[in-house]
Amino acid sequence: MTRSRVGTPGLLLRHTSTGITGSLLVALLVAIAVFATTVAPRALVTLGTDELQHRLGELSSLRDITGLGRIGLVGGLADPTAEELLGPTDHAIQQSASLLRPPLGELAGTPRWVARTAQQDAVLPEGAPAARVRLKLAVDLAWGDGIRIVSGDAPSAWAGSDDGTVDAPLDIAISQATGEAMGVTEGALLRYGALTLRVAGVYAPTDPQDAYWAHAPDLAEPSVSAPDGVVPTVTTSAYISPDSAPGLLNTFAAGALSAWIPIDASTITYGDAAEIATQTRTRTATNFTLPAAGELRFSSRFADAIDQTAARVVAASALLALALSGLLGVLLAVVTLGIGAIVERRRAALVLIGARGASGLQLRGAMALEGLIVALPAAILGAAAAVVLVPEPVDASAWVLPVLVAASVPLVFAVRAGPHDVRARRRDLRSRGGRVRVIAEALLVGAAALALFLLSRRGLAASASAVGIDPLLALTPVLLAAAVCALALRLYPLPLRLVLDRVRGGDSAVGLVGAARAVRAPVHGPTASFALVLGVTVVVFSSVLGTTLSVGVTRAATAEAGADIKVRAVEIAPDTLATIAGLDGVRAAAALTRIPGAQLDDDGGTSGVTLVLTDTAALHAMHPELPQLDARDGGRIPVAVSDDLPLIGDDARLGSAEVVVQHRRAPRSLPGVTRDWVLADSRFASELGREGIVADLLLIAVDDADAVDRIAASAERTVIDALSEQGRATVTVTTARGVLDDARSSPVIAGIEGALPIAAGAALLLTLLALALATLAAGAARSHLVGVLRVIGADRRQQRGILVWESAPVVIVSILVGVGLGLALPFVVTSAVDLSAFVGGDVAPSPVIDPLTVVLAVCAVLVTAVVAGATALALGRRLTPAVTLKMGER
Amino acid sequence: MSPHIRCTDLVRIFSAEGVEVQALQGLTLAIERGELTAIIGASGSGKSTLLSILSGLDVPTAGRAEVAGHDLLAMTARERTRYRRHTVGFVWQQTSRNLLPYLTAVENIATALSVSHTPRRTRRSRATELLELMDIANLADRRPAQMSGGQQQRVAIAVALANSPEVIFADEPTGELDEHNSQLVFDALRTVNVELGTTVLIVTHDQAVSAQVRRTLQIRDGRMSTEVHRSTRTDEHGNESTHAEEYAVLDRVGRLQLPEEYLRALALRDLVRLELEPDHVEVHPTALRKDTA
Repeated sequence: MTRSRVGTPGLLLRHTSTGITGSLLVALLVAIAVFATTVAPRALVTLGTDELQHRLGELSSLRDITGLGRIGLVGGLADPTAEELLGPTDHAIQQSASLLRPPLGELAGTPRWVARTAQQDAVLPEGAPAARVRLKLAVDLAWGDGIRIVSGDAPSAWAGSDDGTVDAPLDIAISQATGEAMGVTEGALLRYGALTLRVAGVYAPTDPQDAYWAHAPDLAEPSVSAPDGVVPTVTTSAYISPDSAPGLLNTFAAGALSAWIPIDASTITYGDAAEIATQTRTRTATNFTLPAAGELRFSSRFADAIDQTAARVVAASALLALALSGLLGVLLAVVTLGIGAIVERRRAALVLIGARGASGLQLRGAMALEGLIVALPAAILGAAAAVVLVPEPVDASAWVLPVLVAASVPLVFAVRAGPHDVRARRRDLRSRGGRVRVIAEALLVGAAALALFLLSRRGLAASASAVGIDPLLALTPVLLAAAVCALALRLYPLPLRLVLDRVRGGDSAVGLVGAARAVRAPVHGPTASFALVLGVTVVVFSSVLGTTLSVGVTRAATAEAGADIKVRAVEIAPDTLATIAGLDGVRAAAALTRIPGAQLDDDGGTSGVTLVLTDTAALHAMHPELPQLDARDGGRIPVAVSDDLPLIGDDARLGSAEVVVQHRRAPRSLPGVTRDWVLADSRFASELGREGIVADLLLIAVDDADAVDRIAASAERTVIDALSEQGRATVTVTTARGVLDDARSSPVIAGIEGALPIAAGAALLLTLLALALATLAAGAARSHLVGVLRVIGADRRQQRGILVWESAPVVIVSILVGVGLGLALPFVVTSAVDLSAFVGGDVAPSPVIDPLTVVLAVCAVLVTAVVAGATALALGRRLTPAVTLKMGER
Repeated sequence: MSPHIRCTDLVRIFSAEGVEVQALQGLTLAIERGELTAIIGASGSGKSTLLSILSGLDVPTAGRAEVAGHDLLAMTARERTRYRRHTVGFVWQQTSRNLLPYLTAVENIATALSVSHTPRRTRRSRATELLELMDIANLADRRPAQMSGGQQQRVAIAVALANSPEVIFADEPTGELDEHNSQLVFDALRTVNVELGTTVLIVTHDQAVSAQVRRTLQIRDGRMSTEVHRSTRTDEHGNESTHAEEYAVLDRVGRLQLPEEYLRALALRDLVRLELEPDHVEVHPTALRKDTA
């Protein structure tokens, strides 16, 4: 026998611990909701950090803060050492980094700098191959750190001076590649203005991948230009010993100083990004003064890259907010259903204690306390799990939503606890709530309209720096769903009443009882209908948005590549084109000749255009939107133009040739050019006076997407084989799939594409749970009904028919409304906000509906409804009518 | 002194989709403080509606109702709560509906005491006191499922008494019990009435119960129809005998319900002929309608 408690807390605990299964379910859902809302902002920041590191990783050395300027060399020192002369500059440059405050300061590495003289021709010794050498002398105090001497020795200090004795040769060190390009080895003597240079040593970078060589490429490899029939030009630089610098004051004073602060992006976090961008801009906004009138002007693409990444992350978080808020709405609706079930179980006790004199406040307080007992441990567990899983620091605002979610649970408990009535009433006869309901629904519809209006005015993202769940975005879909759901619940009894009026006259008991029940005592309350509508909406919306983004990314990548395969080379000869067009698996190939600086004259004046010549039939085969222009039109040459050209009529002159503008197309629809273009067929090249100009862009369409890599390799080989040694370096091959893979490698795009199916799946699960909970909640009423039906002799089929009436109207209406809303929402989103910044490309993606996904989602909901109904019927039949009727007695 | 419970022309109408049900049609009733009264009536006569109104769970459509000085039509929510807490206690027919099944007898009483903010230290002694009054002190730590129906109803009475109400309403308190248990429960109610001076109003079908009550009111069609007053007389031999006198209730406008058996015995229907005599009114059956038809 248990010892009785008489204290209020003990009694409350007794109440709360009764029937704990429902409480555990609610606790689980609360834990999930709090976990999701806690983890989402953290995951977004992590995603932001990943995206930032990904993007900055692509930038490599371009993200470093680089400075260009001039070195200040103090004149008038008597016999200065290198340290005396260059030390102050070196110190100042080191300071430029060490003075940077965190967080930028923590990313900054040790600055490096190289001072170079102006470029001068160096004359090679006799016997070397004929080449023109454009040479700069470079001085770097730490030059020996990244190289090894391959032959000869390090240059020694020069005793001469550029304003006096220049007799002795000045030692230099050249890179191995420069030596090979110039055809000289150590010991060679070069004339360099008034000076004589001696190649004291030849070096090779110890690590050619070191960022140093990205900033000083001229010291690693020469740049060689070798047009046919002309002596090649070698442009390069050579180190001198820093100790030689004092003798070369004038020479270096006329040169340039480059310095850079390496930025290590691997530890950057998204949370610091905005601050880092600001710091970088502050650093680069003003010139950095060096001793002795030297100065540096810093620049970096770092800040811009951060901003671009931030824009993308914000867009991503906005999209996620759209999908996840709906999900959260379903989750909360299911939690509310669960709480409703708990409160229903407590109803008898509430009524009894209320009748014994408990005030509404006491009853609601007790239920709120129960809610707190259920929610608090669950919320703490959920939040702790989220923090442990994604230990990303976030600011206090990220806690608002989880706290709200957790706090709403006791509130819902309290709200659902009353007002209570001793007797149950028919729902359609409740008149007291009527006005309140109308006002609430009007407010809801107004709020939804306002949210939509604000969203369309403001766009997807509130500000470029805001990451996390944007309240407006999060609210809009939920408000819309709630408003539409409220309207649907308002309207849906109307057709049912018509049905009821019709079956009243007939002799179908099933139809009469079913329809009467659906109208007068609906089993599923507004919460269940809301959960169903919102759940189906989220499933459909997520799938449509997912398909839209995926297709959008693919289209943008294809547009960027211009074709399945794009080859750029200095020359693509007609033979090469013919060979490639004949390759196995090639559907079409077109070589584009781009001639900038052409002039198009019409009545309105002259426009500077880029003339593009190609085989328009082949291009048309690849891009059906581009016309075929190989037939004359009334003696004139047919052309297509970009529609950004201000043309008055269709007749115009291209140079001296008469042309007729047959088509106008969007500026970016023609690959390889962006604006002001005129497209003509290459068969008219001679009439246009452009014969013999080589094509430099090759577009290839393939039959089978899987063969792209093989064909790309063959095409590249074919193009390279036709080119001279020098020309080969100019060949680049891009495939649409490669561009797409690059786009997909972005963590944000991968994250969104991964999150949307999860959101859809989770919403489906929650919808099913809502349906199951609602069906279970109606258990007592249903058992009573089944009891009555069996007593009056209804057979199984009739019972089933009446139970089908119980859920079918609500489920069907919810699915119809949910699917409609889910299909409409992406159109609202894409019209209110521009997703092109997100998917890339220039054309805003329009929603793409994948019927299969939608049908699957609808089928899943239907199947669950059937299973839930069948289970309910089976459970109802297990009880004997005597028990259920007795149970129903009040 | 005004009656402890007074209803005047009480009307309660339930309406549903154009159909109106008049559960009470101008009921008038007066019960003095400390009375033990039974109300009997057929199913649907309005007994339970009356009790719901008197216990503050329902509100009448029209008329006046006062219990222990509280005007039941004019109470605010706060007053209604106080009224339920301190003025009235009640016992329902279903034993399971009176008690929370997962609490022991003491805990059920303590819950009612907790609701009225009774200090914790006095709760256990108050519960024990009440259970002893009901003669079931040994059931203190048992849950309802571990008790018989009669024991449950007596615990229910103890719970109803927890906050020392002035009035106890009992709706068919013996309806689900056998004769022996019925008697125990009725004795418990009488104990409450006698020892605590609490006004007790019992709605019942049970002839055995109504036969033991001094005053029995009969409701018919939402109105008081007749009253039976019982008195115990001791004759010259010292033998006690119970005398019952039946009264009909005359309402303000002079309406009167004749007992069912009178109507049947004299085939009184439709029209009756009245004759005013110096000290009474005569009611005669008439064949008038048949003749004219």
